[in-house]
Amino acid sequence: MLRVQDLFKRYQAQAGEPAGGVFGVTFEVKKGEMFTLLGPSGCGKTTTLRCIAGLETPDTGSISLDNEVMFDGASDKIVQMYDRDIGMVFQSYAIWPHMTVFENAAYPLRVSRRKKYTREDIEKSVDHVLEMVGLLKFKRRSATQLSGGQQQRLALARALVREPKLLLLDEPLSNLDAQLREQMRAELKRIQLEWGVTTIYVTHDQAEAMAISDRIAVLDHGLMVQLGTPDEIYELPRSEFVANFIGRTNMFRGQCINVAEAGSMGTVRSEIGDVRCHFPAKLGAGENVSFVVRPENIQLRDVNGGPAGDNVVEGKITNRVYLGEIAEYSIDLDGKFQLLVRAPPGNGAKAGDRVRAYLPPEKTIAIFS
Amino acid sequence: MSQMAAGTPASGMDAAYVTPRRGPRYSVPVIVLSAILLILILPPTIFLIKVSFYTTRPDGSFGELTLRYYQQLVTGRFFFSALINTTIYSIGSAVIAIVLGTLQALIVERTNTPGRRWVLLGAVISLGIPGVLYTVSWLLILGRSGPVNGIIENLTGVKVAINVYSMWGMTLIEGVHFVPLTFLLMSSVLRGTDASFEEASMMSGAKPIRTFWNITLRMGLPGVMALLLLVFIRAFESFEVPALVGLAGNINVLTTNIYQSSKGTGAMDYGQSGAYSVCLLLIVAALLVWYNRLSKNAHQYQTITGKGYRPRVMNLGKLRYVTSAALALMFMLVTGLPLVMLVFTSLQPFYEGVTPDSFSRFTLDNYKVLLGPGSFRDSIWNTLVMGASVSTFVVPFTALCAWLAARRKPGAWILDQIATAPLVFPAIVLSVAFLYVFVNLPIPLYGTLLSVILASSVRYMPYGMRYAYAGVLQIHRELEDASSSSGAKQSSTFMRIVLPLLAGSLVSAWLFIFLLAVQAVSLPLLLVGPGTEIVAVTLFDLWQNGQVTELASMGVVWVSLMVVVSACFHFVTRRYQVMAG
Repeated sequence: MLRVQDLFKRYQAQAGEPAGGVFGVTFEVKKGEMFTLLGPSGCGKTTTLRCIAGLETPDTGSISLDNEVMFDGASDKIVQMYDRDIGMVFQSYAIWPHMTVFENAAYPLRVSRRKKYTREDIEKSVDHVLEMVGLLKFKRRSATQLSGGQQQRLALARALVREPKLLLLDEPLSNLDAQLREQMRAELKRIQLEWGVTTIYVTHDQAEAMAISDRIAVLDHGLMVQLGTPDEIYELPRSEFVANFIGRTNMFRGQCINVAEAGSMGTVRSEIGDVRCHFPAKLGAGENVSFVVRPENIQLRDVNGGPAGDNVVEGKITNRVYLGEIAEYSIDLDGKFQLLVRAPPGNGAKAGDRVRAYLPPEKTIAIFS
Repeated sequence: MSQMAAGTPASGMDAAYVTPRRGPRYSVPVIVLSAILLILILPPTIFLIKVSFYTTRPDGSFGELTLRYYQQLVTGRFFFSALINTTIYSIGSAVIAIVLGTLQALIVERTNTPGRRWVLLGAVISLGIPGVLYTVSWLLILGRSGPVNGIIENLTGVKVAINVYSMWGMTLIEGVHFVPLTFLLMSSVLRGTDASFEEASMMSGAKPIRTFWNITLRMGLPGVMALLLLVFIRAFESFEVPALVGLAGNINVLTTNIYQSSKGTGAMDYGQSGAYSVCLLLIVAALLVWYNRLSKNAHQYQTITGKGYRPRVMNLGKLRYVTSAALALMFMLVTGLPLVMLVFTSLQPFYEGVTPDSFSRFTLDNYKVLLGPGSFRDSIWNTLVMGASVSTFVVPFTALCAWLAARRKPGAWILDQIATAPLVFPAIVLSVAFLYVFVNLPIPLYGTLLSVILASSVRYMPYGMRYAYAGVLQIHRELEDASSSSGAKQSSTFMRIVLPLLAGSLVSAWLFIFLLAVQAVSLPLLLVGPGTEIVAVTLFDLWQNGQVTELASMGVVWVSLMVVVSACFHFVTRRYQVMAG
């Protein structure tokens, strides 16, 4: 559906040093998919989105939509933004204050050059799309009378009214308060499924990305560091950056003892002892690796429960934070390292207790560092 | 440009008109400051109104109450013809200024035209050129023996094809004079509007021209209308161009009528000029009320968030060299030509227009005379002293008033009201009003530099207020509360917290008011006497006496000085991001 190939876009700061951009991003979005570009600010996600929209001209690379070339650096072909048939929701919504709700939503049909719409067509399409976002009863209102959440819906209606091939959402929820954000997130997902429109979603909020996406591309410093479903990204992070950026995690460093094939188990000689890990990619003997294990995957055990086995470390609980359905334990591994564990609160462990922690090998992921 | 960014209080000021319900109704500083303001502002106002309603005896005291002067206005032909002339002239110059200024702003802010940043330089230079000098330069260019008529004569053989001493001449010069102002204000309107409004239109499938028409222009319209009215008001109360161009061409406007009826030293027609002044005052006041309303509308579309904002620059392709040429042409028209003409004239031993001979007669004699001892040097010195005194008085004074008003100290809203009131006085009206006061004062103030300083201080009070008010609003309230809760008295908070944080705005305001004060001609014109000459007035007199080359050389020296001040103003304003609309 959408192919982005080797996209380069470099920004120059005033002094001449590079100031962000993207450096060789490649991905493909399938029809009807909700695809998210995720990363911290300055990682290049918005730049990528604006290049797809046509608001920025990439330096090199190519972008094609439905097998139609939108941009190609090699042949210098470029389709202007107003000819691309892409709907976009801006971070600031960009609802025109001098028009009514209806006129805002009708604008893309009024300026259409591909197809002439009659008055009835426009009325019908706009009513339909306003109905879907729940703004039909406000259609005669001035756009300035809308609340933030309503402006957001209107922006979405405007982007969808001409049934574009692709919908782009640029941090659409970042200007809403927390409660409204969750509600709108669900609504976005519902509308996207209902219309089946292929969507690219840009956000810096990993929880939002996890909740809404079919697939996620994680960007860092203008490079795409991992591409996968939310489960893959969370369970099998491929870099320290991804592991740290998505959720909370424990990370330790060490060396690979033997060659480990992709998908196999292997042992890492680490700061906290030998630990058996899952290797999602092939790594050679002696290579520097780190491994990560999520706090909720660690099992707490009693110190008196028999001899310590493989993948078990011992330490003292320094702090316990009760969070309701779960408790968070900070465990001090003999003065040098900290381990964070999330476990059910009913196990009786308290601050000051010595405990053992078991790191299940299949949930302990080795990463090349 | 003598009247940059002139206008009305920042829209945020309305918030201050709320009186707190609890606590004391007044405070000592508020009472003292109000008293000072009233002493400055009330006498001229009262005198002005009184002379228009009472006959004046030969010894200067008031006689019986009369409506004669107003009757004379209404029944005479002069008032209405002047009103019509003023209106035509003001509309014409506002349209010229808006069209050229908006064009410049669009090219600079929204396209990738090479050299677009240099337009700002033109604006900075213009701020250093007194209005009287600017007008004179244009009269030299377009005058009978000027280069334009010369070229036309050479080409077609028609002698003196264009007569600049006409309505269109006045309108053109005043309009072009206001271009830097409209450029700066339109730029800030364009910059304050989030570019994603335009991007959203493009993403909806509208091409750039359609987007410009549907979105940019429509959203900018309230701003353009407000600006149009602002320039209209400024032209309505302007004096330099009507006095230098209109009087010579027998085209009377309201301000020149006031000037002429106040100028005669012997039998001065107080009542007549008083009635004229009161009428002009009322018209300007009404227009300002209207302007306030319009400009409030104009701000409703502006989103000054800064977040996610990117300037939208249109790639013009090859066309960008055309816009580049257009900018260069406008620069020459607005700033370049008048300056070149001035320098050229200043190097001539006598002025005979631009002829082939004149190029072989260059001399520096005028500058030698100028730099030697004599009245030129005195008047430059007088002017600098006057400007510095005005700024030094007005800026700290209004800073205190604005702070009290912005922080809603008990009763302080009144300070804001009084200090911005002089805005409704056109300079020439204020000049006439102060003239009455000084002539009737037992203390011999008339004709002294102090009288000019006092009158100018009143005139520029609103500008100081505006800068300081905007500056105070930028300071977070809690910074001051933190000082109070540390045990500081109000006065210490003002001195140690507010003033230092306000420094950028205040320096900016100081330079700006200095520039306005030293370049105005209409305010000191009726007040100065022998020995207290002011540069702008001297330039005015030199022109009346036909001493063109002396005028030009003095102008060149003065402009070079003022461009330095104006450049400082520009850098301070930019460095501290001073906002004063």
